[in-house]
Amino acid sequence: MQLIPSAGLVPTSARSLPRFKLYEPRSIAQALDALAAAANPVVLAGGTDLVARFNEGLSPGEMVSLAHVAELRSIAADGVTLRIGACVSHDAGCTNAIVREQIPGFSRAWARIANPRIRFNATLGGNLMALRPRYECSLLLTAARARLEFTTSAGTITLTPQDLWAGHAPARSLLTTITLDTADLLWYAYERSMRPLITLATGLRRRPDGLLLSCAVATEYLRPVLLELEMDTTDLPSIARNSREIAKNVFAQLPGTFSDPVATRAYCLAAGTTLLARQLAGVAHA
Amino acid sequence: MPETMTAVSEYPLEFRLNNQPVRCRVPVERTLADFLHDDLGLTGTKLGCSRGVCGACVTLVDGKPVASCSTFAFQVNGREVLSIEGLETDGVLHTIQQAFVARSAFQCGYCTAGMVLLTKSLLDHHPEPSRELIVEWISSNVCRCTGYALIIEAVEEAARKLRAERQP
Repeated sequence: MQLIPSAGLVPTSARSLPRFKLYEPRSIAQALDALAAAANPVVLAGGTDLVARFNEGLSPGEMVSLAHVAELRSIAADGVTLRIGACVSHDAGCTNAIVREQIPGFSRAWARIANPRIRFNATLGGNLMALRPRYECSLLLTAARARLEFTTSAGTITLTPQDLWAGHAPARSLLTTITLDTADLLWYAYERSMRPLITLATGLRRRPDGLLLSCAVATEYLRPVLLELEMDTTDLPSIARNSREIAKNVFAQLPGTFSDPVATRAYCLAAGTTLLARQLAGVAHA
Repeated sequence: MPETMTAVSEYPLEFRLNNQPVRCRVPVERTLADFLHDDLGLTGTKLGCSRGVCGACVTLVDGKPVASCSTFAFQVNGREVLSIEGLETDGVLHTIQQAFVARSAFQCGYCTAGMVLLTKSLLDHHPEPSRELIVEWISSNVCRCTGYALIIEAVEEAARKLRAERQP
């Protein structure tokens, strides 16, 4: 019998939240100092996930609020790379003119996650750092081949979303920036119609000798996996015509362990192939 | 405001609630919902899930909807907060509230405060929302009673009436 995470949890009353102390740094450096000084810290970004974690047993000694660290809410692009601050809210990010111009498919996908109430307050970084499979930003950023910059007192470390799931984020570090390469990104699409059973995001990037297809797949209980296919063609109408065959080749790489109590591997294989094929059928209009 | 790098367990809170100034000290772990209920006696905000999922506890912070059960009181420092109690004026229900009454857009009423404030935010941001946009916003909040149809109609009616009120 497989235990489903969060099964059996009963939220405690908000009145019994454990006591903690609050730091309010004004800079990344001050935030790192607070994390280093604290005995058992937790970071507060938008906060939409944090109280739920208290209800699940989180009991920090200190909370480091990032509300006043302006650097974490910046968005900048140079035509090659888009840099998004970790505390950019979903609404601020998906409606940002730079994001819309540089990476329109990702911007449209970002605008569809969660709901309007959550999007105003929740942040890109908070969504990632919560490490909940059903949260969507990890999937979106995996397909976009994003890089996550963590700042430590010793410098900056760059990880992939998969590295984050694997626990490679340094202790007491701060996710500060999410970077995406934009110059070679030809097309990006997000499929969430079968959520929570399965969701997938797909990017197509130019390569010197063709295209790279990057498809990230997740379920409500399984973290995203990245399936990639090098194609020696740039003929988008051809890709659209052969979408079913290409989707089959992509999903042939689905790990044998990719199965949860609700969405079995067989289901994910069938549904994922169909959904990816449907996405690719529309790529001719990219 | 406390020293930036000194960890505090109590927060000197100053903000505006329903157009009135509020100054007090709160434990940092106090949620906005509990602060409204226990410290200010404003029980119009309802608690549903305590996880920020159901939206029954929606209040507006700087015009944007937040789940007050999942927002710490200190997070509203320096901001404008609107609770359901602040929507009426001198005993007269807001146009949105009147539309909900006119359309019978509630049964048990537990989600209603959150729905009304969510509608307020929606119509402030989008004075002429499409039905699709209304559905997207209203689906942020859970209603187990009505099936949403009458709520959506109430939002549409409120939007019409507010537009008419703004006409010179």
